[in-house]
Amino acid sequence: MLFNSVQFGIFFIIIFILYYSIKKEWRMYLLLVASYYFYMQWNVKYSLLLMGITGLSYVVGIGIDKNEKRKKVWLSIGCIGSIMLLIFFKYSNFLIENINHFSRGNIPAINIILPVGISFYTFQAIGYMVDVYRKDIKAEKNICKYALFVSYFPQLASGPIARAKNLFYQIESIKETYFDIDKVYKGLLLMAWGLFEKTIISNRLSIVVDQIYGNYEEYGLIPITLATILYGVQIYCDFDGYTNVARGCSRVLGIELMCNFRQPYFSKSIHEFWDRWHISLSSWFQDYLYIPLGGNRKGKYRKYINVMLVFLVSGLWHGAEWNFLIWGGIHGAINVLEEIFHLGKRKCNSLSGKIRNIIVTFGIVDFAWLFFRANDMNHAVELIKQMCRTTGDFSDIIVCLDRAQWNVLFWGMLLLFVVDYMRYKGKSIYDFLMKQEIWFRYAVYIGIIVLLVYFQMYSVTYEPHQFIYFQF
Amino acid sequence: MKNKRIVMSIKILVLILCVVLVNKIIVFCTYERSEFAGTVEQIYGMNDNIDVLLLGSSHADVSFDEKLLSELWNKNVFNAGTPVQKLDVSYYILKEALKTNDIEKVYLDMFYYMYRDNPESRTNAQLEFVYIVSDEMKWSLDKVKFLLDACPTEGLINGFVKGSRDATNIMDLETFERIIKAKRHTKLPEAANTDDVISEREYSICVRTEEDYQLKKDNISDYSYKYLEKMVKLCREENIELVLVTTPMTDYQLSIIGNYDDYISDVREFADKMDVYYRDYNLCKHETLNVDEGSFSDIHHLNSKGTKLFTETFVQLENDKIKYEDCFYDTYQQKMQEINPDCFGINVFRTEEGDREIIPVCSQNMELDYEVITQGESINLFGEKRNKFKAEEGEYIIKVISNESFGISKQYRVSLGAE
Repeated sequence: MLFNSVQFGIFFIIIFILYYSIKKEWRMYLLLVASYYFYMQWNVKYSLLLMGITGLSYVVGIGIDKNEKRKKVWLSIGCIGSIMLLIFFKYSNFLIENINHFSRGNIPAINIILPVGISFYTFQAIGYMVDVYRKDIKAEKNICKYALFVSYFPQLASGPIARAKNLFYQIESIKETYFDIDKVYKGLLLMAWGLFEKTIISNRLSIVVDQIYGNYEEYGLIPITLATILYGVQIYCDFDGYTNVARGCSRVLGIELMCNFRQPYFSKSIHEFWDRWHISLSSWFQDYLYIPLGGNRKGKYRKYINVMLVFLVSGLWHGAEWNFLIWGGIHGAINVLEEIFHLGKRKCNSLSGKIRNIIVTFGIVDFAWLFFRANDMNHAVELIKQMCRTTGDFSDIIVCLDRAQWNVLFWGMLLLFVVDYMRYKGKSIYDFLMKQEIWFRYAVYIGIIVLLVYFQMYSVTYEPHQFIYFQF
Repeated sequence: MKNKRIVMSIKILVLILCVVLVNKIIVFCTYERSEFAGTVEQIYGMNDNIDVLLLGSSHADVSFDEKLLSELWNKNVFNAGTPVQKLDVSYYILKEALKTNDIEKVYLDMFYYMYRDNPESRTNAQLEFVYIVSDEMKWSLDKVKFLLDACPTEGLINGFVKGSRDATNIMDLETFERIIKAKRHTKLPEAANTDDVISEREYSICVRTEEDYQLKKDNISDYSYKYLEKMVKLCREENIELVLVTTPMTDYQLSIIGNYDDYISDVREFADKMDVYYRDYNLCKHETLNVDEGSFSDIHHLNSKGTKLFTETFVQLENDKIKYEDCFYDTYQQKMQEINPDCFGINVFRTEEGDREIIPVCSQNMELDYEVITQGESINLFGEKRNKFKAEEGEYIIKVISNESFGISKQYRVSLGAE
């Protein structure tokens, strides 16, 4: 059940009505049932895996809490168990393929479908167990509350990865949450913005990118470069769009999820980019991998190694292919270089300098996106080879969509830029809107409805485009 | 508190009205009425003047001469065939027609390719032909049920909100101007039956046979069977005689799609189970209905000559002036065995080595010789059956000749592409 589907719309309306109609004490159970129902729409069997990870981490949490002496053992069991499940479902065929390649073996591939969201909720569960180990929180005894923490539907499939402390507190508070029209407005606006990013911009851009990347043999430097730039916008709108719908739904229900993106393409360094892109994941890696590895406490060379390791793992987390590892490696290498030459946190006072830094950062990020978007390492290498050719030009991009679609895309991206720039400057769009006169606000509401109903694009053949991060 | 609720309700109402107004503007500025629209509008205008209703896809639309049928039967016949008409569409056209007409008989065309889909797999192009009917239907529970069933879940907005389908046209000034200008012309041009004759045109498929047109294991999907049963039930309730027919196609078409008898037996099984008549006119003997290559405009649509011929025969058979048992073969295979041996056409494929290969489409196995001519000169043929040749892009004439016992001598003009 994708967020940009009619099914989800109907599902959410029903949950919303029930949530504010039933007794507050029942809300947690309603959300739990809704979350499992949501997850089972992909595959009923997936819910068993979800239950498995929930059960394991729940028991481990209590084990850590009750056994001070053996808490390390409990934590090890929990983390290893969760990671082994993740490796089995996500990386076993990658491992088999590489073993076969290097040993010239013939181990057959395993017929597994990657469960949606496994990378997210596994990390969420691991984060909880580590937090209990570190005594940042007490182990949760209420199995239903814990199960809801792991499976909470707005963030189940593609994050943001929630922290136990924050989400447990809010789950507990829903017993006292009243219907707050302000929060509902804000939530709906955020959902609308997310759907705008996905159905107006991202889905249209995907047609262009898929055409170029799918037929790369026919294109050279200019079309591939332009397609990669557009992919950078596509993946941002796709992922930010998803997160905004998730946060918006959750806000309507009175629960705040963490912000996952802060206008990342205005970053002036790779270091800053990772403060603004997929914040929940980068902060997770910082707290649960980088710091346990030693962080920056064991000398600068160890720090550089730790940074590289974290980014390589992050690359692999995104996908079980070598090209994802290279993608992570590029980000890690640039981060390390910025550390060595003190480029990451250097302040630039001139406007031209800031613009230069933004463009350079975007260029590096976008080059890395080529590896991210490629189907595999061979595809990435072929794309780079094609970029050395002069075949094709700007018109190859233009013909991918008709004039009307390009116009929609142009105005959509312009609006995206304006809104993101306002947010980058710290302005709240909601506050700005609420200060305007009623006719202006109504024009905006009508504009939103018109955009989402009349200009939405699911796809050419009516398959709602999957969110990119669902493959993780 | 009460005042707040009233104010909120007024605000929501005003918002809804504004959206409705914007919708009207967008529809006016962007919606282009399809050239195939008009069927349901005409039905509403008939006012109890339909005695016999014809339903089905373009096959029904072109194969039956409505005026001739009305004349010969002395009844009011209405041809409600529309391109790509699926069974759910046929069902709801019938329901709309029944609201204002007392229909005696319904003929439903059973073109083998038309009923294998289900709504979730329908593309925008296919849905256009759902909308040409739904857009003209008056708002009712039937229309809501129709759209909920016929549109894929993700296409429901486009189904219910006409303006959302082509709203992007507003972003292209040229298209926008054209649509506004077209609004000045209110009458739709009448679709005329084509006088194209297939044998004068290219008659071969130059790529591997389109997989999509091949017969499949389930040529009638569960969804289509559901609507077939609904139609049978509706006709029974309304005391209407329902007859399933398959209008003629070329033997070329029927020979390249697989075992056509499998499809016939599926439909027969359904017809027997539901106690309805089924007549496949592709099994009609040549003495009764001789629709040769000159009767078709393409490989599965009759031209105006073919339509007249078929309509007259159809009336004679329906009036029982000719007995069915004497006029139809039992199976398509039987027909192929009993008719005079014939070559219905050729396919020209590109082999893996890059050569061209001629594959004849015949009523039975036979030895054939070929001659391939381009720019007045014959080309060398090779291969075991001497049916392969090397060719670049261009125009070719391919002659097909059998031995004296079969007596076949035909030629085809073929355009070969680079691929």
